[in-house]
Amino acid sequence: MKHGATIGLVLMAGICFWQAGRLQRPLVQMRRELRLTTGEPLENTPPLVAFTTVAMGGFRGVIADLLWLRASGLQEDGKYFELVQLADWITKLEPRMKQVWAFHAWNMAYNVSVLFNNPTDRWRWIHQGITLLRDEGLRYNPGEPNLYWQLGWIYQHKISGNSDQMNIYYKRWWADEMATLFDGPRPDYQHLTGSQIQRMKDVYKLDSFLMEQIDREYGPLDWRLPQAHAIYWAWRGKKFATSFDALQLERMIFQSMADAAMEGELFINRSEQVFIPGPNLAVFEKARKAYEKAIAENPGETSIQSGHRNFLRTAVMMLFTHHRLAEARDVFADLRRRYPTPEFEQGVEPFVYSSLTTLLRNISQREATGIVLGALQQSWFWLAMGDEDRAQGFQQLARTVWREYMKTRNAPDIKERAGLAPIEQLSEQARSMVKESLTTSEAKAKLAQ
Amino acid sequence: MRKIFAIAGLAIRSAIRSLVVVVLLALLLIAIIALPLTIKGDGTLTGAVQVLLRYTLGAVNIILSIATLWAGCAAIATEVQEHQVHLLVTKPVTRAQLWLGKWLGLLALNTVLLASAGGVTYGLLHWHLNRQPLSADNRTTLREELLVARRVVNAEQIPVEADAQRIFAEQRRTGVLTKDARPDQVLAAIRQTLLQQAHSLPPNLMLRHVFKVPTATTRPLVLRYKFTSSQTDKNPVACVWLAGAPERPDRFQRPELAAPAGIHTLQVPALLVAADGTLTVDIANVNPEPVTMVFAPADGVQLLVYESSFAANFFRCLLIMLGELAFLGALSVTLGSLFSLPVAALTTAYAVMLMNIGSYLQILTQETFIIGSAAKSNTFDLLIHFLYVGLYWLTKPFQTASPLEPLAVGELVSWSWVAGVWGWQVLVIGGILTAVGTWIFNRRELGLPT
Repeated sequence: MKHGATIGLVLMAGICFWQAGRLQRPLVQMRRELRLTTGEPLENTPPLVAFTTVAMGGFRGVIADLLWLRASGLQEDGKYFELVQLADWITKLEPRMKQVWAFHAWNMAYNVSVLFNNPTDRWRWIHQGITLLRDEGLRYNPGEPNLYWQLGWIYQHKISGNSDQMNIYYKRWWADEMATLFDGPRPDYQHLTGSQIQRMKDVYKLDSFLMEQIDREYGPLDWRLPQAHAIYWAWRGKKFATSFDALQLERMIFQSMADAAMEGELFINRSEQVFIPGPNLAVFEKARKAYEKAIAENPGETSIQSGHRNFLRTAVMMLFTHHRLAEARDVFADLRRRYPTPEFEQGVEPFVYSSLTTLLRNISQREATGIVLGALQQSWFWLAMGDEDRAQGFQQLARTVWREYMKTRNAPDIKERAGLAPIEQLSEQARSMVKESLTTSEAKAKLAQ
Repeated sequence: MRKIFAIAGLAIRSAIRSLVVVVLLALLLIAIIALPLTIKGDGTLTGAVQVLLRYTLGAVNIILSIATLWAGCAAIATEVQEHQVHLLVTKPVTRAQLWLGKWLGLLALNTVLLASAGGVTYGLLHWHLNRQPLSADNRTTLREELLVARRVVNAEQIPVEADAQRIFAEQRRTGVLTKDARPDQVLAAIRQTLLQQAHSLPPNLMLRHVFKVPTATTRPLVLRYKFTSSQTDKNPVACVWLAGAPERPDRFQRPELAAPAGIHTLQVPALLVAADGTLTVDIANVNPEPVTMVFAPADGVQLLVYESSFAANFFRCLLIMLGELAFLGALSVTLGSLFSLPVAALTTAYAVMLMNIGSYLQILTQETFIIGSAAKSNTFDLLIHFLYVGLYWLTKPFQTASPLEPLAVGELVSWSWVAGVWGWQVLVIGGILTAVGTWIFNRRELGLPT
């Protein structure tokens, strides 16, 4: 009887534990069904994360704050070597807080990377930001749309955009990595090897089934380029998104589609050290549809409409200079119908020429590349067709655009960031593209001269 | 002395018998072996080395500090609590000898443990470096930038005092100062503005820094610089660095394209140092876009001069850590002789925490309001302000920087630093603590019934 009370208490505790264990599964299920948390409960997590998130309770916030203070101090002093470890600990202490993941990934990819002069160092930090979100943040928060957006934004803005002076290096390295992975511009979905699928899944968190779906809806995309990856992550985040998050992800998709249409095809010639992203006109119609879908789903969003208007304007120019006149006229008619303004009252040709002269002052690098490349292709095409005058006209147009564009971008740092490839290099690229599309050996021979 | 050593031996034995200390020592072993395997660097070899040094030795320091704190507090407090001290005090030993014996025992234990932990860390570092094939570049970087002890030399200050006084006098004369302006604050602000102006480099101009190189060396000198730019974006700024006397035909010249806010380094040949030990460094702002480069007056441009080997630096770092542990031992033994174990341990922990948040306390002393507003601070604010000021000044003599920071980035941990820690913290403060501790311990009644 001496130990009766103790045995009773132990038994009662045992029953309570057993009952709690029985209730755990239905509770988790209810939590999932009622969407009380968007992510799965932390299961199979490393012991350190499980320990910090459960055992430390409220104190983990204090520790995270102290680590954060240390990280800020070190960053200010230029001691970056600890930042990856500190970011890892801070995020593991607050694994469910999306802002923490978003901040640290952004901090590494944007703030820290630009402190280095060397592109290799910069790329390393951008890569750290990507892996933190992709490999860790989304692992613990698979239902958090904002984290998909943050990851997509690094691809869309940091790598694909040209705000960073060294963006061309990032594009090149990413393209090399992806080309090695896919053995070409995109995976051959029907003949992917087991090891390829495994590597895509384990290292890059790319699902070949989803990629194929995306390619069917928006492609064919060049997966060596960052826009395709921005679309991929936005697409994956969309199924968890509502309201503003959904709009943000939708925006990322159509903006990246527009980017893909403008410079979504890669011309690489390793022996000549040539790396030029050019227009991918094959996805133009799909980019247009992506905009139209977004407008239909968000009728009150005027910013989408103005983006759409700009996209159509650029598309007219692009199609016209690529000698896709019927499509250019069709898009121009659509532009005039949707956004009637006096500047669209003239015909497509006067619009193109007057726009060109005013545009040249302010166009972006990708627009300029597209226009120059398109005009050069026209030139080579008409030369192959035997119309030397017309070829000369397009050659003239390309050189005028190139010269006018580069006039204000001659300073070395601007030239590196926003300048165009040398005209001879672009011309060679256009020639090889036209030559490939020709079917007769006679026409090909003309270009060989 | 024999009596003291005998007591020291007893202190070591009782520390080893303590469960808490044993657990902490097991943690120490795990930290040394497991930490280097789990910690993430920044993806570079230098980053991995820095993290290994910083975290392994940092963990060793924390664990040994906690163990010292506990063992030191327990050394006398437990013996008083469990009446074992009665056996000791009846023997021909003074209480000062008892106190010193306990402290020496802790010091000996810490010396052995720290030397072992340091030796293993040093060995692990070299094992890590030897097991991977290193490129020639990596070896050079390690040898010249990391596994080395370099003295940090700041540029000679540009004199601004005369100008500051003149501007202040002018402001006073023309009556532009408000009635309640404090002269010291106004002068400090003028000085700061002038210094910042003197370290700003507008487009197409040149800025000069002069360094006094303390020791002659044949190894290349390293210029380390950091600046902010007047641009809102962080695009690199083109500048040209020139080093050596301006009239020298072989003056060093190096164009750089440097990102603002980043830390950049460049090597300068040591033979450019003049016979009088000065090195003149000019920076020309040649950025095509008009941008002003702004260097911090205190440490915007620094010179790193080779001083000694990494092994010697590592040794000095361990000596400083040992000195700090010796001080902590003195503090905890003293408090253990005054209070019971839980009270002594908590008080020591609180004191250590205060000593380690010196920089935060300093920030808080500059705040004039905590609850009220800048315009109207209340009495509570005033009380809190004085509390922070008091705590800051009370803990200031005990505050020291960590030697691990410079060790991890290849900067010198000097002998004067070692001497400062041992002279001030161990001998002076430790001596005072010994005197206070033994005096109180002498007066303490040990035979009270419990």
